[in-house]
Amino acid sequence: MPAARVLPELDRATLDGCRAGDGAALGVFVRRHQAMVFAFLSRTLGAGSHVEDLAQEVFLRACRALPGFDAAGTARLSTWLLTIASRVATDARRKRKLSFAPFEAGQLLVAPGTPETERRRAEIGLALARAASELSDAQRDVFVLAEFHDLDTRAIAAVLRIRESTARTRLFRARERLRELLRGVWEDR
Amino acid sequence: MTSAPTTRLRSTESEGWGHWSAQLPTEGFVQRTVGAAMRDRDEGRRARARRSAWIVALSLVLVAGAAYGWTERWAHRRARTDASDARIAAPERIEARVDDVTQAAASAVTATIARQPQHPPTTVSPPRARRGLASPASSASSGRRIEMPRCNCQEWFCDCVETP
Repeated sequence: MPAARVLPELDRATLDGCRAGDGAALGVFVRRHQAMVFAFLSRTLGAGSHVEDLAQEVFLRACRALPGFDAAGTARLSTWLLTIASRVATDARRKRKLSFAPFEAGQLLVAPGTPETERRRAEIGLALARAASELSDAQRDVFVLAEFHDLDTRAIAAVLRIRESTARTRLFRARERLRELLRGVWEDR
Repeated sequence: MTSAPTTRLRSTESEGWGHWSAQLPTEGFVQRTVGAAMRDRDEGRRARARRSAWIVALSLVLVAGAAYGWTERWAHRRARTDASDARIAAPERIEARVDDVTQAAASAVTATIARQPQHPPTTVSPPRARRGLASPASSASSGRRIEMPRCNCQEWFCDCVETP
């Protein structure tokens, strides 16, 4: 599992500034979380130009809903933002009939002359993305949240508005399926 | 990872997922998003102001409509009350008119009767004697028709039927 990428929470003053519509505070908020939102959307919906539009939609919705966010509550700001992102992704799938499109070889941006290790790493990434595209949308959402955003099943259940047992089952099946699909990629242990 | 075989893509599962690179934000995404958020906020404020204006206008229309309706209803109810009062007072007036008409009719009838020529008093003839039993007194009135009054005349009213 990748190292935990737990974002530091925004301080109270910045959060208040965001609520008040302060441009500088909003800039800090977007800058702090943009990579996470892009990562979630591109991994669950596939990469492309639509990811930027959807990421912007996520931040707009977040700005509208920020006055209702309880900073003293149990939910972290990043988890709350992922909740919004997952709903935006669900809406996008429903409205635009988006299907997952993994990175194509040309999108890997591996410049000629890149060291062999990097090239190989990119190819592994492409294989992983292709394998993930074999998962159902529900399984992929759970898997991405668990594997890349370091959420436990309880938090995943809260983000996706499903039961914790459902989240656990989906995660188990997603891992099993990926293990099966990537049998040739993983190094024998 | 550095010594991975060239023939196959191999990695350990634990570090492998890190190779699934995500799409990165483009240059200027923060500025565009903040700008869009500020515009959205202003638009939201304007929309709220418009909505408030609509609500106020709608409330005024509703209040005015309710006031107008109440006034109309009140006026209608008052008109109905007046009409029912008039209906209650009607019998006396009708009675008075009936009395007037009755008196007028009575006086007209009295005048008509007064204008008519006086007939001589009718003599009541004794009943006709049976044939063969005629008395000497009955012979004088024999052959006369007795006219019986066919009407019921009072002082103020008479239902006489004029016979030719």
